[in-house]
Amino acid sequence: MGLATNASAAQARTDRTVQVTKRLRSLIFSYRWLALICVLVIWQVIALTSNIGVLPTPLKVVTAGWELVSTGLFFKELAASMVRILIGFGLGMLLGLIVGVLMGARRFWDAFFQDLVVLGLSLPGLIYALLCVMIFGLGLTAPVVAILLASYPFAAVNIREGVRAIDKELIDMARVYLVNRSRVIRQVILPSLLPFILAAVRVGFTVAWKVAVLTEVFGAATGIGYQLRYNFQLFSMRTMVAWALLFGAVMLVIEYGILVPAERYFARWRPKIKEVI
Amino acid sequence: MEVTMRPNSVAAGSGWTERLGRAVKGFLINPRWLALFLLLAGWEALAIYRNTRVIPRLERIYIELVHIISTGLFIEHLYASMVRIVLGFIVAMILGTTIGILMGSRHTWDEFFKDTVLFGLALPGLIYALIAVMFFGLSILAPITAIVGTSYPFVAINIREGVRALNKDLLDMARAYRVRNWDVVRKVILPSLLPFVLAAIRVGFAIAWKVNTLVEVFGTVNGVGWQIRASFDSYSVHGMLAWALLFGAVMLAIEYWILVPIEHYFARWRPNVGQVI
Repeated sequence: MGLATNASAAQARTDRTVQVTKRLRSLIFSYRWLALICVLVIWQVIALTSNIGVLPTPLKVVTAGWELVSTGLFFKELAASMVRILIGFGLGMLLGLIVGVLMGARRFWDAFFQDLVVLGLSLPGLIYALLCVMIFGLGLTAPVVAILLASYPFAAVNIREGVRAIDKELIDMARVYLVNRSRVIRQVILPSLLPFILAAVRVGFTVAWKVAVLTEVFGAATGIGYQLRYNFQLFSMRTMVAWALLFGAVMLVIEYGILVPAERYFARWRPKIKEVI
Repeated sequence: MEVTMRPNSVAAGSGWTERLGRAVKGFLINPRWLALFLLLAGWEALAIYRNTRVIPRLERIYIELVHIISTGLFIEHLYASMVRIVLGFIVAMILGTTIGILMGSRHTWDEFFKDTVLFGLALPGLIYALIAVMFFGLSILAPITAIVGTSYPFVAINIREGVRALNKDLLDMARAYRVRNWDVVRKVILPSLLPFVLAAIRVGFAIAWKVNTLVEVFGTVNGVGWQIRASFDSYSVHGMLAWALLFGAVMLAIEYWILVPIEHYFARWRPNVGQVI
């Protein structure tokens, strides 16, 4: 018996090593690196040969970026932006949760909020940013309100779908068995809603940081957006591109490194529907 | 006594007059008017209470709306914007369709383009707009490049899904029956791809007009975005709201009254999979 389990354990270890090696190999010998090289080459060629306008070479951008990171300026401005993003995003999620639950639960609220939500989904972030800066001026209120208004519809739509997908039979069964209300919420409703809440968080965060940067471009004295506008006005392309790429990288890491895996983990019980976005 | 059985549809009234009546009733007696009324009333109350220039009375906004339309200003700048949107959108469709077809048909192309498409999806339109204006200045290439950059990934992923959804059995059958290539393309591939192409058009167009407005804010001398920028610079909230509402109405009309019905008509054979965006 001992020998058999040892052998099967050894087999499992070999299988895992083979799997890991396979994945490492497909990561290294992949066409994705070829694509990256092509992009860099095209970028370099356009930067060197074009006489249309100013395009910094990749090396200049990397140098500028390194300077921003090593002097700590990047992190200082990132913190300023993140404060606005998180506050606005939090409030937006809260509002979206309330509106979404109302819309999913009662047809009256669904019809009531429908136009506002559709309008909110379609209106470009630019309008929110400009309006809020004009009305609230410089300061924390403008970006927070802009993010709130821009992100709540996305959260609301997702939460609404979640509420409508709650299994009514389970709720009825809980009522038949006289299960007390907080238990029903905790053990039936919340687990069912969780994947939708995480989808709302993911989409909401995406919208939040984009609108935040946009608001900062027009009406802030600190933050990533302010730096983008400052360098744009000074025509210092390399620094502007460096700011954009650094910030984009941080946001992508948050989205694809934290939010998407979290969503996938909590949604693993769901049947796989191919999603386009 | 005779018992006559009438089918349910006759009892409920399924003639076209009844259905029209119900549709009109559903449109009129709808909580959405309550929401609209509350929104307008709230704005007006706020405007009267605060009595500041940045929250204009509804009448002021209305006057501006009428002024823009009646002096032909709206048509003039709408035309300038539409030229850029359409040109950029066409190039984005061509590029996106090519890449989508490549990605959908061969795994190597999928790997090759995957990162650039992902990057394009995630990067905010602001970055494209700033870089395009920096590089191309005031020429029409700036908005076109920005539109292509932001829009082509959405088109590509939709076309890719369409190509991957092609029914291989039908293609094999066509080959077995030695159907000519051109007929296979015309009668098997194109009809199957059509709903995806229309989805790509809808998403691509939505992205295109938003990014174009952003580019116009930074680097053009006419167009709706430029007007919005001018309103922002002169703190004219009524001007900006008027332009935003008019332009938004036109764009939403194109999206919901032209593109979405066309898409639904050509996709009616497909099973209904819920999409959130």
